[in-house]
Amino acid sequence: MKDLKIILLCSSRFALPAIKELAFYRMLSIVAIPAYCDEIIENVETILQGTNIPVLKLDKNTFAAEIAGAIRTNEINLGLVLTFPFKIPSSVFDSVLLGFYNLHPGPLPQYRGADPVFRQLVNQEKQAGVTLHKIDVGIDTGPLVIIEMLKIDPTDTYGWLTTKLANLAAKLTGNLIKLLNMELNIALKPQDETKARYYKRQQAADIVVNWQTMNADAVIALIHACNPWNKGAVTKINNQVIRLLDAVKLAENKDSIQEPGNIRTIGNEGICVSTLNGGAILIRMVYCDEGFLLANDLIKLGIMPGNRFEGF
Amino acid sequence: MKIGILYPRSKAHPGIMFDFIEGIKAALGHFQKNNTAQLISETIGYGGVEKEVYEKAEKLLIIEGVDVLVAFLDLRILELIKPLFFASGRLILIVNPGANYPENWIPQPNILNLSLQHGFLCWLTGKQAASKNITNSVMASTFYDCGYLHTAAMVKAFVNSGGHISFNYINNQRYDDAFEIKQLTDFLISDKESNGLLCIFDSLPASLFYLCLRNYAEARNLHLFVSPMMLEEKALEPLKAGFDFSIAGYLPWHISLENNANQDFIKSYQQKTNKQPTIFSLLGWESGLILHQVFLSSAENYADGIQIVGNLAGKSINSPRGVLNLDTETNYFTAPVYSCVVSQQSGVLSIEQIEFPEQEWKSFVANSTEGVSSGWTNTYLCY
Repeated sequence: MKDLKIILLCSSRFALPAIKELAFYRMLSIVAIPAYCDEIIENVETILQGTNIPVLKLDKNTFAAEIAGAIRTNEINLGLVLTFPFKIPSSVFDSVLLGFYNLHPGPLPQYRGADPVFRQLVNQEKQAGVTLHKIDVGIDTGPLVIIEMLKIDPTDTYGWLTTKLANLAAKLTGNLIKLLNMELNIALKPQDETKARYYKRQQAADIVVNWQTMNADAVIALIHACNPWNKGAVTKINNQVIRLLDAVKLAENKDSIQEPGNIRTIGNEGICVSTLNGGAILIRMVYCDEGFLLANDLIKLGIMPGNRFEGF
Repeated sequence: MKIGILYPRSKAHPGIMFDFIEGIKAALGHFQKNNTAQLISETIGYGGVEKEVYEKAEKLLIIEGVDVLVAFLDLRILELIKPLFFASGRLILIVNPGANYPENWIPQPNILNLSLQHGFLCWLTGKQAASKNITNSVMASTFYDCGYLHTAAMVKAFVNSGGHISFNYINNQRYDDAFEIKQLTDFLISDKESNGLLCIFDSLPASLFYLCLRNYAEARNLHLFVSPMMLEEKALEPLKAGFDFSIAGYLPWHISLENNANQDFIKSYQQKTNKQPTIFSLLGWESGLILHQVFLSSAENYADGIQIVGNLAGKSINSPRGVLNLDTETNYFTAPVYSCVVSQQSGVLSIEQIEFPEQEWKSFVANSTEGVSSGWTNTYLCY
């Protein structure tokens, strides 16, 4: 085979380790990113400085034609996708000799959809995964190359987990490139549709703490899943919106069940809050209009033991 | 059942392919009363050429249509072949000395791992050195032997327990009269604080290393903590006339073990081959034991490797080295280990069985590799 000429489509930092690796080995021809993703464009341009690898900034309405043009101009023979918000038409992925492969930050087919990192954390999975699959006409439905899982640590936030999954994705990208370079057949396995689940991108209601239905584990999972991209899980107290950025679970005390959301104590280590069924959490860091604060600084906003966090 | 076997060869251990395959055949012949298994085997050389290994595996899985694949290969190669194994859905049994361990211990659900636990035994050896109040130690190895993660395991366990590596010594790798350890002895003369030697050598360089150390005038002050291959009979040969340093380490198995499973193994293997079994025969025999369990638990339905792995969970397999259990968190078979010291008078091993150290295994598995690592792609001992 001739040398691989790769176009890489992405929209988040999940792609950065793979871009670094591919750029280092001079395997990338072009990177394409939606124009509205300012931060990722800046990051990628920094990584690619001095490499002569261009970054194509895509318009939502014309992206398919722009990608098709880049494929023709650069004689691209392989496409890689690492989180991309637009559905790629078959005319585009069929035009590439080796096809398009997607690195999806969740196990497929169980975690189809826009933000599997968030969903895996909220669902309190013990493991998260990266799926490498070939792109077909559906969304996250193409045949599988491999799924690799890693352990979710109890303290993993959305940010940490994304970093770990991104490194795993870079490793899988490297392995794929090696196999293609050796002109080996890439074995593919169809997805098991009976296990498929599609998650829509999270809506406002998905990021609000519901103290009446969520136990301590669920509240902490949501807090981790919203840190840092949403500056925390959303709650309200004394008519002020607060975002919870960091919390740990405290021992349950079935003998002193209090109203969920009720502040038990405020101390140097944080705010102790009751959760369902005698549970409790210690909130350690919050975000509010005043900034990123240690949770006990909420005292300065007049928040006291006996006050209660609420949903919306 | 059609069983595919990928087997390696080795100049250093030329019997490896015979011992391994004969071990499988001996076990199947011994345990399967109506042995209908069909074995189809392919060599993968030293196991280091990715394309060759991939194509041989592909041939067995797709063209030959084997039900189960037993692949004697190392983990760096496995990383690349995983997609093929994943797509096949078949049960894959990866076999190797265990000198490498995975970056990520979460297993592929249709892949099992059987090893001599070398990485784990080196971890235990590093801990043992620290527990004997060795604070400053040299790490000694060869350019070849140090290219596997057992080196990291031994050093990390030692350092995490308070030890300090004062010098890294990599041998000149001339396995003949030119073998020498001058750089090492120069360092030891200059640094009297370093009285420990963490050592990882294959059996031939180990024997040369021991020979050189016997002739080192100040060797009596040294305490050697050694890798499993340094406790093999061939390695210890030069020590029969006595020596004055100490040697300790761990073995996965020894021919002298008196348990019934080992006696059965030795007898059956000798009957079949007219040879003494080796560690490679043991790996073959244990592969056969696992295949026998697959026969028993799968009702001749071998299509779903994940289901077969599930069926094996919780089953104890009586191996010549003790009971093998499947650790379902990692899909590695675990086994008892053997703590060894070598007699200074006779060079003879003194062996003590230790039940599988569960907590240490958990610490070992939790110890992830950090940063970028490089190493040999061929299977350890296949060179």
